[in-house]
Amino acid sequence: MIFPSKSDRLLFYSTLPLVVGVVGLLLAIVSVTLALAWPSIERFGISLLLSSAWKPSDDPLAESYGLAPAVAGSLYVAMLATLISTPLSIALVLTVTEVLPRRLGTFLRYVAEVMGGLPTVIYGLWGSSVLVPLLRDTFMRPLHEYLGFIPLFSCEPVTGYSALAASIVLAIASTPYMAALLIEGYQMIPSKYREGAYSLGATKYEMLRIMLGILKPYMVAASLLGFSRTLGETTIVALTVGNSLKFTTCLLDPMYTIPSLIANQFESAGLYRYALPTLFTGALLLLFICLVASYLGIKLIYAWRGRVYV
Amino acid sequence: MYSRLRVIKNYLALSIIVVTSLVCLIPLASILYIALREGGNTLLELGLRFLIELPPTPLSPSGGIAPALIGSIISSTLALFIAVPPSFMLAYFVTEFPRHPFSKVCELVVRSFMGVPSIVVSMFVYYTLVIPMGTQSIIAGSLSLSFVSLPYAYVYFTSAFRSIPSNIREAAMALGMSRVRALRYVYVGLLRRSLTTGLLVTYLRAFGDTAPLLFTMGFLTSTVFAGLLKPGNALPLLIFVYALSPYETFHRVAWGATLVLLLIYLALFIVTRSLVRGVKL
Repeated sequence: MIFPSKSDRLLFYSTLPLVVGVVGLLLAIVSVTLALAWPSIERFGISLLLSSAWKPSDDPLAESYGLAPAVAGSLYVAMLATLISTPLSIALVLTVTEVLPRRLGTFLRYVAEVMGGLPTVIYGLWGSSVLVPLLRDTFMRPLHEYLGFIPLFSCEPVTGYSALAASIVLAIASTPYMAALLIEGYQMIPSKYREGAYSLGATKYEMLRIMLGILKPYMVAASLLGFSRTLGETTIVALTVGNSLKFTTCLLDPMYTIPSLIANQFESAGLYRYALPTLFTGALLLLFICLVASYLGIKLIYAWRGRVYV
Repeated sequence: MYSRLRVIKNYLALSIIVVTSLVCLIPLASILYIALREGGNTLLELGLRFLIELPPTPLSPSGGIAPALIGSIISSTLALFIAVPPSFMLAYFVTEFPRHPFSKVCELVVRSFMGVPSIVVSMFVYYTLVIPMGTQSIIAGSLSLSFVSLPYAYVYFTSAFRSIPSNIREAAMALGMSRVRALRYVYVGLLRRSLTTGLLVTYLRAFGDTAPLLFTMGFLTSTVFAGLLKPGNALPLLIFVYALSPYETFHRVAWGATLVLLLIYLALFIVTRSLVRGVKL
């Protein structure tokens, strides 16, 4: 690069180490996690993903661990939460940008922003002490009673702390976040499409469908970013998912997710030789899935931006 | 003009959209109400003492949140000081040299950084800082927080820099200003509100985050402040740990702390918003 001024050269070369530093930090996080996970990967191999044992022991040879319930629970909870929050966030975006009068829409947008930035631990506490008992009595019990023949709802909701409860609280917390992303994308769509639709005689609803059609790749991206966020979410899940190591596919049963497993077991895991490396293997998996999901999301957003601006 | 079916469909669809989105916002009302109801008692009962007393033992009738409040303020302020300068420089670098390969790498890596689960950051800091130091500490907590909030500050600053109108940018360049001078004398003045907002948003994020502190901060309850290199406590952490505990006293303190956290959050949020409203370009 050619710089006309000395100070610009200084700016450029003094920022370069920061870039290297950020890249290095990411690499360091990945490699430290991998290094600490390695003993467990080496010892248990693929059975880590298949087994649901959690047997700490003073004798390293007798130890046996499996992450199957936590991995399954994580994917289960995060997917369900994303599935719930995607349509909700789309509705929210349309309401605040198009449907409501401008002032009311802006006000609701502020409310959504408050919700989006609210500390997650508040959602967790509220979820575990207010929403979960409420859901158990008004939603999960009837669901079990009338639809109990479906394997997903076949188990009795005893405490209410379950994968379903956790996904609902997570969905509530991540809807405003996804809505904020989508609003940004929605406002990037050139207004010629809106004007075109109206000039052809479309009703507002028909116009919105056209706009959503344009927004579709962005929606996928927002879902991926939301998925990555809910997958890594610790506090809400640890307070509402019930924390049980039993492997189950029933939505009304308590489960574990990788972050809640780590949050609950990390302190005691240091006592055993392979417990901690197993937790780090979980962290590595989590890191991998989250990074891939957010990378894909970002790439999709860039590609979409390039197309829309033509 | 429109067939009746289309009109009906239109109104039906629009009302479904509005009702669905209002349902999304109900939880906030419920959270505010419950926090006032549950935490209000504790706060009214103890008043200011709730903010300056030590947390209770499981069997004592009441206690305060002093170490958590102090710890939260210190750690999030430190995190802000650690995270903001690099993210500010990186953001300016990326907007000024957008075609340079380093910019592209930087943009991708910092944005992917948002995808790193905060509990993994917490484990990383635990192994690289807490174990060598031999103790959990406020410094470790702040570092962990700053790693998590760096990408958010970066994203905010980049969008602020990108919002500079191109005519102003060109005018600055046409006057023969270097990029550093343009930043110093034109952009910072122009963007002062949105840059301040970026700072506040980052601070808010750091103030409310729990997972980065789980293994790094420690859980100080015996004294208000032990030193930066010694364990501390934080409001979100206190709420999380007490919510998981079985004791009634702890739950009451957790709700009181939630109300305090909520009030701080809302106050900062309103300040932030009133700044944004003033931006005119």
